[in-house]
Amino acid sequence: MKRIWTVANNTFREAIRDRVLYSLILFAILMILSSLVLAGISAEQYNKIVKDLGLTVISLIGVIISVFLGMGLVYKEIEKKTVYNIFSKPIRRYEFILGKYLGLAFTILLNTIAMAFILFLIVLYTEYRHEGIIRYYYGGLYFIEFFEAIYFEYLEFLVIIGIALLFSSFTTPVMTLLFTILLFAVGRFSSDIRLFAEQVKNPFAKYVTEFIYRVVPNLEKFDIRSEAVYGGVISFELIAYTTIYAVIFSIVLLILSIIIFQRREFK
Amino acid sequence: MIGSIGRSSLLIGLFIVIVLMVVSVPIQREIDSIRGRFRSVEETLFFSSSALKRLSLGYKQMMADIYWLRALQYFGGKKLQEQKPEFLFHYFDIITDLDPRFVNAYRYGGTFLAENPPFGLGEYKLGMRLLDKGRMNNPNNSRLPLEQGFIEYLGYTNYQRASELFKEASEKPGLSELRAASFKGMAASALAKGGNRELSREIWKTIYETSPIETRRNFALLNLKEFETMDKEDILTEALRRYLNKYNKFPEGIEELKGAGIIKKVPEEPFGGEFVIIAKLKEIKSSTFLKQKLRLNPVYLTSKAQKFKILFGRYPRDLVELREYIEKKTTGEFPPHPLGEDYVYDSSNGIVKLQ
Repeated sequence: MKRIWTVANNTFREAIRDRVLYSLILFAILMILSSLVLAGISAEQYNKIVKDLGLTVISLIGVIISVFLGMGLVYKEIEKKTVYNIFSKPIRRYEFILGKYLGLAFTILLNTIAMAFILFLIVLYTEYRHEGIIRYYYGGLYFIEFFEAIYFEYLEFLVIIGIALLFSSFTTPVMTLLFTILLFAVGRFSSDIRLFAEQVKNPFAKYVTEFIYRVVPNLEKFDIRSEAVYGGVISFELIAYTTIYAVIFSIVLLILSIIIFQRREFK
Repeated sequence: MIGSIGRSSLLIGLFIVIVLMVVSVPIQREIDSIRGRFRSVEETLFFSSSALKRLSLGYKQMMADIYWLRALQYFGGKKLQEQKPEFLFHYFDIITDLDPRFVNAYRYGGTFLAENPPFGLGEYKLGMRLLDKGRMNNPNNSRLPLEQGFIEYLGYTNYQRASELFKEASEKPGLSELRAASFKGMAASALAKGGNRELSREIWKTIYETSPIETRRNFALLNLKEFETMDKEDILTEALRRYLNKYNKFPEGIEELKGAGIIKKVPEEPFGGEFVIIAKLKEIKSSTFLKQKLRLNPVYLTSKAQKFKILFGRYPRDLVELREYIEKKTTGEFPPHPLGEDYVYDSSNGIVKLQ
């Protein structure tokens, strides 16, 4: 456990030294702030614009950070040959993968908290400034749903880090980027795949699409941004099941990464 | 020295950048004038909402917001006669496909399409289609059937349909008992009496309190003020008749009604004018309404006489024939002379004047 922690700690330190990370966060903050301007020309849809834009930016930046930092996680160590140094110490390969995953997950957690905090301040300002009209149009302010939406977005990041880590353990960063984005896009359209599976007449195509639907992580399940704006019941069961779903997929991806990485030969 | 660039080189560089940026503005304008200012907006009109959903990579609400903001800028900046109703419908159809819970988009688009000019495009079917879609996607929302009922009642005098919609609104969950009862009352009133002042007032009041469109709220306020003026005219006319019965002569002014103890105080005219006695009609009228009618009635009647000529190749022989034409062949009414006099009509040119 201590060894996993050491790798995680190093991964975190390395990640926060990356200038790209800060540029992305700065961009996110600027985008979140710009929502105030856009809300002003939205014909009184203040909270909707601020929340939609803010939550979308947090999600997009979180996904970009997960993919871009995740794609080099393992490959960089192999390319720089630092992997030999690491494995000359009593660190097992699975500990290395787990440490890398946790380090990046923690980095993204901090980023998400920082972006969410700024967005929340803007949401608070907007909603209390226009409280009457927002309550009238939208029936409430929905702060809890807002935080639940952020939590669900973070769960999605955890799965995406897992995907990036899986590809990073056996291919180049460019290919990792390509595969991860592809899987992300497919995961975002999981309901379309499901619909296709239900409507297709050919039994073989039906099984194939059903298989894809079950195997690819359904990233749509992590989207409750609409509830953050309009309210709606996000039950404890939904939160629990979605968390378990994210954990299961992350574990599956980690196990696959470990298997691939274990079998890999370093020359 | 800053880095390897000299200060003067830096300033020259910055100067060139600024000059080029300034020069680019008229060039950009030229390109806009050739290709159209809203080319990118118009091009995206031909996207289907399913294609946009895919393009959005799951960020559908954000895409809906972008379309909403663009719709406000694009359609808000155009004059009524320049609007293309099918474009407007398509745009709001896309917005509400991307975000089916965006109730204000249905209300905004639906009312703007369906309402008659000057506040809408008079595209009843398109507007109703959008509002129907909104009711289907948001079955618990009371504002959509209410909004639709207002348009049916005020714009199209479709009292039966308005009543059904008010009833539907009254049955939605989450309404206070008072609100639900008020909507039920509106439904009953629309069905029983058709057009009446009390219900119209109630409707304009609700529009004023709930509409997401500022110009519509202002129009509602104007209507409410008109009803208030009419109410005051009725009260004062009733007081005048009581005065006449009692004293068998006209009062010198409204103040005399107060002096005689018939009214407690002289009410203010809501538009800033005054109330005046029309002796011939034995009525008291608002000077604002009176001026308006004195100006508009002859114009209206003259326009009808001109229309008569287009249809029958001659002007109406007299005012009796003009009245008959207006009341029997059009949906309009023959407005009485505001002062109770007769209009002066010239059958050689169809012009109607006041005496």
